Amino acid sequence: MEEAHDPELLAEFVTESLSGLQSVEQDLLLLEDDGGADKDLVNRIFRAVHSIKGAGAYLNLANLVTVSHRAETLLDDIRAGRRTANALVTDAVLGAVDALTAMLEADDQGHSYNCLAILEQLDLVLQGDQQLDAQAPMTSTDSRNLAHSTNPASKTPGPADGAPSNTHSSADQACDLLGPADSAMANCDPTVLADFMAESLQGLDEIQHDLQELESEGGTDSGLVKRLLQTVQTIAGQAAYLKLHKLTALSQASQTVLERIHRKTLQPTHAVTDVVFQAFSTLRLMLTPEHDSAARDCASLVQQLGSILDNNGVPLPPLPPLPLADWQFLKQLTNRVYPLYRLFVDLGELHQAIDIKEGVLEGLNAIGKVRHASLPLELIDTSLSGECMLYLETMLEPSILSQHLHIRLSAIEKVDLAQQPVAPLASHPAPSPAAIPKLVTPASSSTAASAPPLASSSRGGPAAPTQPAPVEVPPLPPAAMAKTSSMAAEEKMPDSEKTQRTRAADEPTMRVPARILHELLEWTGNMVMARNQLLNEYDFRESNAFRTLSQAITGVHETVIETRMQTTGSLFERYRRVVRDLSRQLKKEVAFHIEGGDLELDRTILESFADPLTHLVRNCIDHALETPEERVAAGKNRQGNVHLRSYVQSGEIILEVQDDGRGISAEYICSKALSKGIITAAEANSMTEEDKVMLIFEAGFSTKDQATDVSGRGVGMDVVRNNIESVGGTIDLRTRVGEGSVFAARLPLAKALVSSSLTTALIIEIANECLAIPETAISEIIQYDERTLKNIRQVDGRNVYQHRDKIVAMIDLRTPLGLQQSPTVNKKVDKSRATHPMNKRACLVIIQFRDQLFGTVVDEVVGMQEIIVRSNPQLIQDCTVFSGHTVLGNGRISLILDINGIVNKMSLKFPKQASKKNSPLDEVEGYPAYEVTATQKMLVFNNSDTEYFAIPIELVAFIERIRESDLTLVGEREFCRLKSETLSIVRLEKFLPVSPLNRKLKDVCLIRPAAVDHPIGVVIGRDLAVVDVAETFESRLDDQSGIVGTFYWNDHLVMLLDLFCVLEKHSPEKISHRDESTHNARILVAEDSLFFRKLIGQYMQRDEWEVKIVNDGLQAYDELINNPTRYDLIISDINMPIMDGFELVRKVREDRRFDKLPMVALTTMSEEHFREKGLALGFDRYVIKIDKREVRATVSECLRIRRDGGAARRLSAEEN
Amino acid sequence: MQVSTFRIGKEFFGIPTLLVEELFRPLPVTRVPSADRRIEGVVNIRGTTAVVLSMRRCLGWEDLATDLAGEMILLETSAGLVQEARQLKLEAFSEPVVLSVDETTQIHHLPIDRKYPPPAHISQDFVDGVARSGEIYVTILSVAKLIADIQNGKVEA
Repeated sequence: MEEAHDPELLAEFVTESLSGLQSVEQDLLLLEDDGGADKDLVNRIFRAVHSIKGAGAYLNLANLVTVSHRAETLLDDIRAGRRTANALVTDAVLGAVDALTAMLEADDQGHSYNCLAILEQLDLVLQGDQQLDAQAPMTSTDSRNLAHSTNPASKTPGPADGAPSNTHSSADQACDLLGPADSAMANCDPTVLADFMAESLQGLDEIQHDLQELESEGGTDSGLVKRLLQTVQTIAGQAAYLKLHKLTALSQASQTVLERIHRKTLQPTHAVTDVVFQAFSTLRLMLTPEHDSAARDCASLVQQLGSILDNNGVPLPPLPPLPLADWQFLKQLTNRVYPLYRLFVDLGELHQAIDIKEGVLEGLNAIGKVRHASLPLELIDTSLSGECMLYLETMLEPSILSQHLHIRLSAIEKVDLAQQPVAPLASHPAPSPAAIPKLVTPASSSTAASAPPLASSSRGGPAAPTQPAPVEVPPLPPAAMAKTSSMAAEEKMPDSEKTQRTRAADEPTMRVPARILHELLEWTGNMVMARNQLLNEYDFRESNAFRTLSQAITGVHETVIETRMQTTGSLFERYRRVVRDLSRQLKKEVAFHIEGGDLELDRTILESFADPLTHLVRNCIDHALETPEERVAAGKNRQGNVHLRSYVQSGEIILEVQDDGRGISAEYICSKALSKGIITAAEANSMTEEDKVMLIFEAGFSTKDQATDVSGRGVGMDVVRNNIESVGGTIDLRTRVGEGSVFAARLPLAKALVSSSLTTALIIEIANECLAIPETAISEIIQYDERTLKNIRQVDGRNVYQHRDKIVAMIDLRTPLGLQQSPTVNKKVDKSRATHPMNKRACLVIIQFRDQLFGTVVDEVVGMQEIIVRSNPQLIQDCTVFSGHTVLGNGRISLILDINGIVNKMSLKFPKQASKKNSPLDEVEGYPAYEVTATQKMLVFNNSDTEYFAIPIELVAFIERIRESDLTLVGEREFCRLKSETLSIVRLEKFLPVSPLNRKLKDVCLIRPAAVDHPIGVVIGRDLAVVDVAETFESRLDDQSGIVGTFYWNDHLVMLLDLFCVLEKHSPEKISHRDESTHNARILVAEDSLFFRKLIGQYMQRDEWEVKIVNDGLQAYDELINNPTRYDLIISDINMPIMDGFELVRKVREDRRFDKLPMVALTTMSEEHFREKGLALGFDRYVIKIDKREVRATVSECLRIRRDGGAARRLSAEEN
Repeated sequence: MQVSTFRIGKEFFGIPTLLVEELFRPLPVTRVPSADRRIEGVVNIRGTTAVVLSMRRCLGWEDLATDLAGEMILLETSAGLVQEARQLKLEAFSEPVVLSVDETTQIHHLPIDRKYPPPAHISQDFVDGVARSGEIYVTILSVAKLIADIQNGKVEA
């Protein structure tokens, strides 16, 4: 039994079991959700636990076997439908999984693991649920009984064909436990068997409750014990008659123990009842179908029961904990030579065993030295009975002591003086039953004689535990069986083997040192690169061999990469358990969502995210999410949501933890940081909301008054940040009070991928250097030609590019890369760059960084390529603009740009991300299609040195720096020749009551307004900035003065200009209303931006028109439904929160009443596909909201169509 | 002590022969902008990426006029350099490193006792001493120190 096992085998077992347990954990969580309805699932879990138990038993891992057995029992109950997989049950099994994992991970495979707690928990569930079973209908057993009662021959043997199928199956099962190959068994009638089983089960069910009381009663209720006894006696008797040997053995053994309890010669301690429970549940198991595990336990149980008797009721293991006083005493004894043993002896027996005249003490001192005893030493020789603890220093092995002194091996313990004994309470004896057989030695107890034959049969053997003969017999040679049973047996036996085998076939694993895999990876990476080089140099198109080789190389590479890759999902799945446990512990209702779990990352990188994510997830549940009551009070769903998601964006992988809880108050964080002295009051004042929230990641930050044992919001967030930064990532936080938070960890793709893995990148050439840009960071590649050039303007002396409705900063990549200093830079290219050369191959690459864009001009785009990513050598690792390198087809190394590094190096500052303003929920709730414009981008400029003005950036076509001397004065009017146009110049001071432009300025700026047909330019000062203006600007009543409102920017009062008003005054003939006469009309406008609300309000200002403006599509729709006949026209923005313009028009057009209601889209989204979509959905017109004249003309036109009953387009469309 | 010598300009320098893995004609170097100035770039030697240190720049000399002039020395970094670093109590460094020099010259066998400490005017730490081989004076360099200097971001004197 104690033979040493092959360590490799053991390691194999541990690895396999651990991975098995991992899947069990996940399956269990699934199980909890469906309550055990999925039989395959239960079976899968059962098999996994079972195989651990099986292998554990083979390897003599007693604790492991005990725990897995109990868990298995529970699972079997679920499988058989006797138990529902409620939270209590899964809790217990999950606990068992944890315990098993801990044991497997321990160096000694759990030999020293204290599994009492988990065993107790499992037992509690095993018992507790049985109680439930007793009240609730017992699904399986009941139905069996029911089925049985439909059989008329309930007591007497009847024709088997009349019995329902499940009776059959139980009969089959019963035959399976027949045990020894006794020829008498052959003629056993299956129907009788079935009857016996049904009856026995019923009996067992009836006494279940009694069984539980047994322990609490402490055996005082004799009626209770008697009932138990009767039931077992019946089973034992019938089983013996039917020659069901295993069953007989077990029930007889239980019967004996119960008898002893009944006669009060045995105290039903926890240790005793534990084994009895075990015996009863095994009995049940043996009597129910699918019991394939039960038979094996039977033998050990019989032994355990026997050992209880042998030990004469002494609790097992019988050694009370080492008393602290004794330990202290013994510790002072310094002259010890040999190990010290603690012997728990019965003096009476000892006197018999040591047949020495001098007495026990002398006898003991002959083999060692008695150092201490629980009795005074002089009393030992005189007391002829009673228990005593002896401390013996001896060189003899415990086994020899045991034989010599005739005491049980288990009563001998080596005393470890280095270790202070645990407090007695903690080590209260409660033995693990499976461990007991090891302790059993033949007893010399005289009371054993009264034990029934079974118990006596296990006595008298040598030190090794003997098993009762019937149990030892291997199960059933089929030939000796009744036909049914032999069939069952044939199916049964290979089946359990099969399941193990298929399991192994599913995922055979092999342990390989990581170093070998790493080398393999390097080599295959080289292979791929060499192949690419070969392809570059030679033409292999005709060569089949090369094609095969090439495929093989790709295959090898992919396979090797796979060894290192792991999906983020596998990491995320772990948190399902964390979320579940925590939410139960904290009594919160949490739904856990995983998104994008199929993203694959390097195992080690992924693993480095495990801890930070744990922290974030725990924080989420502990702090962020409210209790169900709070949530309901706040108008939220009772159930909170936690999302874990991963995705790739701009060459970064992003792992996000999102909750829809309270959110984090910037002010609160700020005040905490102030009180902790992390920031000063002055710093606090100058911080934005976002900056304040980010304080949470500062070292030393904590909100201690809020912390709990689970996690402290803020405490240790700097650890999270450090963890993520240590692998080269960043973390940021978006939050909104009352709505929730999103923590996003970002990591450059090149760092997150396995070194030598493939990724797609754009290879570009700049200043004769080849660089790779991760494909995911590329937004667009634009031919760098005349037309592109036209969209490049200068703002603040830097180039910007008008990219659709966005102005994108243009950077020269050579600056951060310091390329112009290199001696090889082609002088020609360098020179021409300054004036934007028409290099045929040059391209403008628009790069996206997080949600923002910037552009750069490259000399040439080589193309998109699959590249092998390699990490940079140590010596150049501080070059943060590169995240790695690759080898190109020509054998040269190309560095991979790290966009984050570039942005930092160039200190590009982007306005706070639009998405930051969004509710974190927007994405989830399904509004992701369009950005919500909570702010308006404004071009701020000065006219006189101190007076500042602003116009929406959309109204600017371009800005050009000109010299005052470029202006030509023609009478009162000024003109300027710019490009091929002659612009009529507008000076604000001429039309507005403002101070004039400083005339001394040599050069000024010129705004060319967008969407104005005739050439016009506004001269302004040189102070320019593009700012985000929150919609908190103050409005002024429109006095037709051309000023719409004011706001503060950098301590300047900025006037919000109505540019069209100015232009109108400048050239009324060109920008006149020219409105056709219209009739009275009511117009409904949906527009979310305050600025445009005002603007449109002004546009629409006519006496005949009554305008109602609402904030979003939904409001507009509600208004329309409430007053279906009121409005003559709807004007709608496209990009709106809650309900956008597309949705609005779709809903309106669904309603037949509004068929003829004209709808105009008024938006800044000028892309053609938006226009097409808008028109397709039912807008009559799609107008870019800039041109007052066009807007008014369109509105008039639409109204006219309606008035004329025109809507002809629509009508004719219907006829078609 | 066996010393491999190389020439830069008109001066001769040497490193222990044990540290030399291979000598080869220059490969195209990919420059690594923003890296330490002494790092000329990276090269691909049969599938392995190596960092190229320009000995001219390390010694504070001007670059050679043309890129592909000179010669390269691949250091034996797997054992020799690690050992040297250990002796000097420096952080072990085992990545491939290439020195780019003007020209490699023959291997001189120099008796250890003929190594003089560096003359007082030499400020670079990585100069280990000066040895004489006939009429030729050879400056002995400690590559491990040099690499450690670059690693720690110590600027050249």
